Amino acid sequence: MIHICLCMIDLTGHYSKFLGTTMLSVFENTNSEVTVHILHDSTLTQDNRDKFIYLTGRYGQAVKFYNVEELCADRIAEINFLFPRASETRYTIAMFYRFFIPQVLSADIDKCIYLDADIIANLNINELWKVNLADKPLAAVPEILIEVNPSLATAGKYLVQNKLVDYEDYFNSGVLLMNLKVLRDKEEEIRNGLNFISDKTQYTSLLDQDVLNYLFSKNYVKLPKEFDIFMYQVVKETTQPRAAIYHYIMNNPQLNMNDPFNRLWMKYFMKTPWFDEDAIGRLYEGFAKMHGGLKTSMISLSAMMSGKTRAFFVTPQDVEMIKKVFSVQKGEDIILAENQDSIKKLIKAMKRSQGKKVFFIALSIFPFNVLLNEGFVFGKDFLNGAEFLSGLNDSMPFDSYALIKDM
Amino acid sequence: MIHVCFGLYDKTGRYSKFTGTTMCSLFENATPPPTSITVHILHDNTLTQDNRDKFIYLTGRYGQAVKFYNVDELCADRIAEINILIPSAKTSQLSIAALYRLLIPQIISADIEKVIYLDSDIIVNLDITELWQIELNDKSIAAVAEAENDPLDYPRNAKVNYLVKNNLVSYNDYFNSGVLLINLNSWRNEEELISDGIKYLSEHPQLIYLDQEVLNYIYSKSYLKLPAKFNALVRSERFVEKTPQARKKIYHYNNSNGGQGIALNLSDNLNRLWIKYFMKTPWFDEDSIGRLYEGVEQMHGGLKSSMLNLSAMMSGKTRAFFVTPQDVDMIKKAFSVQTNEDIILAENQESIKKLIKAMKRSQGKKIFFITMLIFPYNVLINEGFVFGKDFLNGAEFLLGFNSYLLIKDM
Repeated sequence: MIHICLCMIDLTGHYSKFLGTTMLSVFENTNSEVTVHILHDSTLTQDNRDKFIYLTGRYGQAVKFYNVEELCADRIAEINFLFPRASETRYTIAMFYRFFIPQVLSADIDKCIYLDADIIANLNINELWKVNLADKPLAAVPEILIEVNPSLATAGKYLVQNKLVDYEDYFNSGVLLMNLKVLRDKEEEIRNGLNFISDKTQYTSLLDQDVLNYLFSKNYVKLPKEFDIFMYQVVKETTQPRAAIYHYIMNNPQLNMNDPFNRLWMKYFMKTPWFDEDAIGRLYEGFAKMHGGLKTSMISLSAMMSGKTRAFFVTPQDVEMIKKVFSVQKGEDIILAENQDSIKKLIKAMKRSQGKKVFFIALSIFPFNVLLNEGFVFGKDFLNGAEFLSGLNDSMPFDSYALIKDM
Repeated sequence: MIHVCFGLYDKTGRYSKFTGTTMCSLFENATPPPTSITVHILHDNTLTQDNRDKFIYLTGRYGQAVKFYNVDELCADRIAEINILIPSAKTSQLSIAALYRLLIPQIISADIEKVIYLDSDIIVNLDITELWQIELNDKSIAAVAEAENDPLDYPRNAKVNYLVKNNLVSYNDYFNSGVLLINLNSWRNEEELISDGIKYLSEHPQLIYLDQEVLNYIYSKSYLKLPAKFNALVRSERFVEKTPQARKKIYHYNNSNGGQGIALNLSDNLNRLWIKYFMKTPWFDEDSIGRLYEGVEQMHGGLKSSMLNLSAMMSGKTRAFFVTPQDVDMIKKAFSVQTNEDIILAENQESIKKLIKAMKRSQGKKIFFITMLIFPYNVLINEGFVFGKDFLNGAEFLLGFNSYLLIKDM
C-alpha cells in the first residue's frame, strides 16, 4: 500500500480541483494500491469531499480525511501564534499542515509521500515509493539539481547566507518521501525549527521549506530531479512531457493548449469530477467579465480623453515600440524615463498641462503613489499605459491561470 | 430498428461536433430495453477521416450503428443540378447540406421503409421511440407546424413568407423541416414531386429556407401534424418562459433572426443541456478548451487594439452622440456624457441631415458616436466621413459578446 498525503485550505471552494488533479495523475499512472490522506480544515465543503471520494472510488483506491482544526487544534494555535501573518501569505497556513502528518496518520503507517497541489505525477508513483530511506527522516530533490541558474535562486538565501545550510543541500519541499517512524520522534526538533524560522519571516516566505532544510539538510536522501521538476525550468518549446513529477511552481497551468505542459495538466483535470458543465459555465463567466471590463474601460477612456490630448512617459528603449502601438501623433509629448530626475520632469509637465493632457505611463513598474501625492488622479490625469499592452499579442499574453483558478 | 438521418457539410471541420452532439443525445435517451438505432449520415467530400472516426467511436460506445453516404459520389448528378439551379445554396448560412435531406429516398436502402430526419442543431431530450412509433399510414411525412412551435417569430415571419403571403401554403400549415418523420415507401414514389419542388425553389429566390420551402410547397396540405414537443424551438421556449427547464422534448437551437441558439451562459438550462451532451462526445477534449481560449484571446487582443486606437482617435477631440429619444438617459449614463458634449436626437429622416450638418460644422474636432443598432452608415461614408476617425459605432461599445462564435470554433 502506497500512502500519499495532500494538504489543503480552500477559501473559495475552487481550490480542491487542484488536489483532485494531482490525485488523478497519481491514480492514472500506477497499478499499485494507493491510500490518499487529505489534511484539511473547515474550508473543505461536502461537495468537494464527495468529489474526492467519487474520484478515488472510480480508480478502486482509498481516501481518508483529517480535519486538522479538530485533530491538531493546539498545534494550529501555536503556528498562528508563531506566524501571525501565516493566514495572509500567498502560501497560506496549509503549508504548515505537512508538519502534522506524523501525528495525524495512524501509527502503523511508517512512510508516506507528500505532494503539493500544483503537481502532476506523470510517472508510476511506485518509483518514488520504493526509494530506500534507511534511517533518514525524509527524501527530497535538492534545488541545485532543478534550478537552471542557481546563482540567481532566491529560495533558501537566508539559510545559505548565514551558513546554516549549504546551497547544494537545500531541497524543495513540494515532493517529500517521509519516514514517519523517524519523524514521530522528532516532534521537539520540528517545534524548535518552527520557532527558529518564526522570527525570520522578513527574510523568507518559504517557511515550511526553510524549517525542513534548517533541520534536515545534512540528513536526508537526495532524490534525482525527475521526482520534482520545476515547470519554469522546462524549455517548453523543445520538451515533451516524460515520466517525471512536474511541479507547476511559479508557472501555473494556462489555457493555451499549444503548450504541451498546459495540455498535460488539462488532460488530467478534464478527467476529474470537478470538470463539468459548471466549470465551462464559470470559464465563460470569467470571459464575459473580462470582456465587460474591457468594454467599460473603452467607454471610460472615451470620456476621459474627450477634449484632451495624450502624453507618454516611456523608457528610451521602448520609445519606438510605444510610438507604433499607440500611433503617437505629432503634437503629443513623449517624456523619457531615464533616471530619478525624469519623474520630476513628468510632474512638471503634468502641472503645466493644466488637465488638458492624459499621461500614459508606459512602464511595467512605476511608483504611482508619487503622482497621487502630487494631487493627480488616476483615470483622469494619468493612466497605466502598460496595461494597454498586456494580452495585445503573443509576446504579451494575458494570464489565463486566473480563469482556471475560478473554473 | 430505428433509422435516423443527418445531412452534413463541414467546410471548417468544426461542424461535425454539432451532429455528434445531436447523436449523443439521441443515444443517451433511448431507454431500455435497448432500442437499436442506425444513424445514416449523408455527407460530402468535406467529411474528414478524423471526424468520421469520431462518429464511429461515439456510435460504438453506445452499441449502435452508423452508416456513411457520400452524396458527392452517390448523387453527383443531383448535386451538380442543385448547384446550377440554386447557386445560393453554396453560400446560404443554412449550407447546401440542408438540401441533402431531399436525397434520402434515393440513397437509403430500399428495404428501409421509414426514417427520422434531424437537423444538427438539435438535442433529443426524449426517447426517440416516441416519435418513431407514430403511425404515418399513407402520409409521406410528419412534422411540427411553425404556428405551433414559434409564437415569437412565426407570426412576423409569416407576413413576409413568400409561400404564405401568396396563399400557396396556409398560415397554420407551414412547417419546420428540422425534425421529420418520413414514410420512405411513399417518398420513393414522389421523386418527381421533389424535383418539381427544387425547380420551383430555383425559380423563386424569395424562398430563403431552401429545403423547408420545397417540402412545404409539396406537403403543406398533406403532412401529419406532430405535437410541438417534437420540435421545440429554443428561442421560443426562452421567450415564453424566462428560465425554461429542460423537459422531455426535442429541442431545436436554431440561430435564425439573430437569436442565439446555443451559448455558453450556463445559467440557462437549455445551454447547459447542450453542453452536457457535447461534453460526452469525443469532440470535446483538451483542444476544444485550447480553441475556446484562442477565441477569447483573439477577442481580448482585438479589444486591446481598439482601446489603443480609441485613445489615438480621441486625442484632441470631444465626443458627440446620435441617440434615439428613448435612449438618451441610458446613453448619458453609460458614456458619462459631459455637459460640453453634443447630443443629437434621432427622431426621423430629417435627423440624419441634422447629424451630417453637425459633423461638417465640427471640422474634425468631434467624434460622433452612433448609438443605434441599425444605422445606414453608407450615408456618412458617401458624405466623405471616415469610420474610426469622424464617427464610431457606439452601439458596439455596449454589446456583450456572442459566445456561439466561440462554440462554433471549439
